[in-house]
Amino acid sequence: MWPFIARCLEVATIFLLAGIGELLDQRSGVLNVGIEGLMLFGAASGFITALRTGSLLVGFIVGAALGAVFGFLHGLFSITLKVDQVVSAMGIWIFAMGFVTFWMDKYSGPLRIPSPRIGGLLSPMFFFAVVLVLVVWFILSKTHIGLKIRSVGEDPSVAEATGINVVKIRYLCVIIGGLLGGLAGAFMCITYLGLWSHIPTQGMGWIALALVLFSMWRPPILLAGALIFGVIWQFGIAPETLIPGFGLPLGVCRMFPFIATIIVLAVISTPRFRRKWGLAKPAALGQPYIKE
Amino acid sequence: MSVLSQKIIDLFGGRKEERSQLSEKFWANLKHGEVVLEARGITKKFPGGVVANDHIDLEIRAGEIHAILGENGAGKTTLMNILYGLLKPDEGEIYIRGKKVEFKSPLDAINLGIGMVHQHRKLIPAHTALENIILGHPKAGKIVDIEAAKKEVQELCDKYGFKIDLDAKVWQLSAGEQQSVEIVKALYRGAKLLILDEPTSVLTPIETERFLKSLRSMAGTEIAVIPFITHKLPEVLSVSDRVTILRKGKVVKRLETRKATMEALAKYMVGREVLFRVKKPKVKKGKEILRVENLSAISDRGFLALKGVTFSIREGEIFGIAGVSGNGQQELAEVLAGVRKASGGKVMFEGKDITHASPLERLKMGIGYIPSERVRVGSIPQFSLMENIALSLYFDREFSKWGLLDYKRIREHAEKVISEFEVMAPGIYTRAAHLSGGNLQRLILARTIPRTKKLLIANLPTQGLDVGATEFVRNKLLDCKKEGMGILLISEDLDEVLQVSDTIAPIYEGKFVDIIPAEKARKEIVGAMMTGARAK
Ligand SMILES: Nc1ncnc2c1ncn2[C@@H]1O[C@H](COP(=O)(O)OP(=O)(O)OP(=O)(O)O)[C@@H](O)[C@H]1O
Ligand SMILES: [Mg+2]
Repeated sequence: MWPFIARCLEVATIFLLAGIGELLDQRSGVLNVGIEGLMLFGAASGFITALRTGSLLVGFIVGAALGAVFGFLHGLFSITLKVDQVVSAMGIWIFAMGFVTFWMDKYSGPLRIPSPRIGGLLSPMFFFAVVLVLVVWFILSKTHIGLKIRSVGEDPSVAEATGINVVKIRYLCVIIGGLLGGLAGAFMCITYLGLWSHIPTQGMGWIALALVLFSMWRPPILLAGALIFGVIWQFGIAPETLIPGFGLPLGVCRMFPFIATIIVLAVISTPRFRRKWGLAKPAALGQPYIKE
Repeated sequence: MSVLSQKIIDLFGGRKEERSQLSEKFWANLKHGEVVLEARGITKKFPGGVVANDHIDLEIRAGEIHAILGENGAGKTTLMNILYGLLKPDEGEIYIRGKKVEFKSPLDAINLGIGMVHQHRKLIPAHTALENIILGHPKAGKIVDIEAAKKEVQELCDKYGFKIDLDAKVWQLSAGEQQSVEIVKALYRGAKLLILDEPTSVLTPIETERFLKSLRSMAGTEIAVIPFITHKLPEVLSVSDRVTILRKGKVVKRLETRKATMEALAKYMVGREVLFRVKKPKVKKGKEILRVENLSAISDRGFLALKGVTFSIREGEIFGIAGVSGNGQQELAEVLAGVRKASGGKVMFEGKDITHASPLERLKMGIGYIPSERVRVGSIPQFSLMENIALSLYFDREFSKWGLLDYKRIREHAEKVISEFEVMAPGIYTRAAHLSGGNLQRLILARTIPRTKKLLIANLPTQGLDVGATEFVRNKLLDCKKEGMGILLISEDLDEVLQVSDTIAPIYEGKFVDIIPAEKARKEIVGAMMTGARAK
């Protein structure tokens, strides 16, 4: 039972890291639908670095750094060049799918460096992620920079008129978002899986994106959502640890988290939810800021 | 050492904290009546040959309320944008407390203690009033101490008599409260000179009164206030100390308010006598053209804004809805124009049910719609005047053949209506974005009224128009009536409704309080009904 719970929490860690970065990003008005791509780059670079250097820490750092680079790239396209945010992020994702496969699939196999785990069960990264969520929540709701971030996401022209540097804040948020996406990928590959196989993210980035939308941009709800989806994901992978002799074929079980995602997205699209959701949504989300 | 560091700070334009201290030092020892702002020979030409400001001199003293008047397109907004650093003048100088200044952006003006409240609100609706006020000011600190900030802001509010629920989200506040938020925001940032663009055009009568009181109490301290008011002359007379009047970019008159009368002001503005009344022609009412039964609608915010209204309009009748903004009249106009779904009830036009007809179908039936939001809904700013006018013609056989637009016809029509409605612009190829507020309204009228055959829905048609233009529009409505159209007039201006309507319906919280024929309507009673009081 405990090993199963620990695994669930590690999956939740992945959703949390990627999700909280995306949440920050979206709060500043930049939508990055390409988290899956950021995670792939983070996973690939983190895995290969750890494999070569033998150091997990360096692997995490390199994974996060490459994520930040691609976050910056998304910023360059969508903030400075004012490309449609969805187009830019999808471009990064598609590029990641192709490039990472080409680059990494020849290294498919285990890492063979055990990650440190508290009590032999749970990675400390989980606690780091939870603290991070609380920190982001504090920053957004209690600090001046948080107020500035939220204002930029609501109405950049008003923010600009108040003397806030919209471009700087948006860059800050996309880069941090990218960094955390990369870290999430590196953690997934190095610690959770401990191996490389073709496209190891398997849609986790998309689930993280859905969780951010579902959270109505509130970190505490994101935390709850990540925990629930951690359980669903892990159950889909190893149902027999929870219910011995679980009869459904593995392929069907693997669909659980995605079915749950569809249900969640359907629920938040109902008229009742949509209104609440519409009010919570950063008003300038997805719109490039074009100065007059 | 400190001299050097100051030099470095100056070199980089100063960090925010230093700059705000700078402005405090700059404004120290301010005396009532001292000249705080002097503009000399301000000139601004726009491409297309419009001279919006032509050697304007202006002098503002501490603690005065200095009204600036002028008809639509006189150049008021341009002048204000120059004073606030949004536009650069072609010629002329600005002095603040005797020191020559050049603004590169509004931020420079803000840092020198100039605050501005735009005609279109610049607040973040999803944030609280307090958050909006403290946003971006270094005083708020890195970690915001909400309680301390609230105390400070509350003191400011009390000092000048502003009533704001600081914890409420801005979208929940009324137009008047939102404006208070903007003013308090400017004061919180240390503004000593406050520029207000048409500050009362969206306020209710009660809010206006409270607002004018606050203006006076600000002027009681050293703060100078410059309201730009287009057409509400009684307010100018009651509140201001001095008046400067612009016409076609030039200053035509400066005078002290106590020596002015309403008629004189209007004459200086428009250059001719203005009658403050229009004559209501007698027209025989024809058959019923519009019948609305128990109509209700839901607002953007998701609550029931229109709660079942029933009325009918006949040919040659002006049906006036009097009410304070936000009582469902906006939703009613939108449902009738077909741009909002009705949540219940029925709309019958000439006996046909049109509850679910599209806006285009309604246009083709001869229903015209003048929306109240002229920038967002009423026009496409990037289009030329002609293209904006073509938006109501493209579907008409007369102007298009086989799906191709007949530009010659359209141009002729555009030129005709633009001169008929006196839209002041270099030509029909000017972009709508370059029109002044009042001229944009004229453009919308020029597009809609000549194409409307049977029913005109006019939502706040004279909002932001100068006295001359207001008179013009009211006469146009009466002309439409003479031609036998039915007209639904929605207005916040009770005098306007009483002057032109045949039937008057005060609206409150989504319902008609009563429906009264004009002969029996008394101003005090209708005014009371607008705030919810029932007739006995
Ligand atoms: N960006 C621009 N390009 C070209 N012409 C412009 C531009 N901005 C304003 N104008 C012109 O300058 C003149 C003055 O405009 P302004 O907006 O200052 O008038 P206003 O006095 O504020 O009028 P209103 O009461 O209608 O708001 C108008 O004729 C307008 O068409
Ligand atoms: Mg104007």
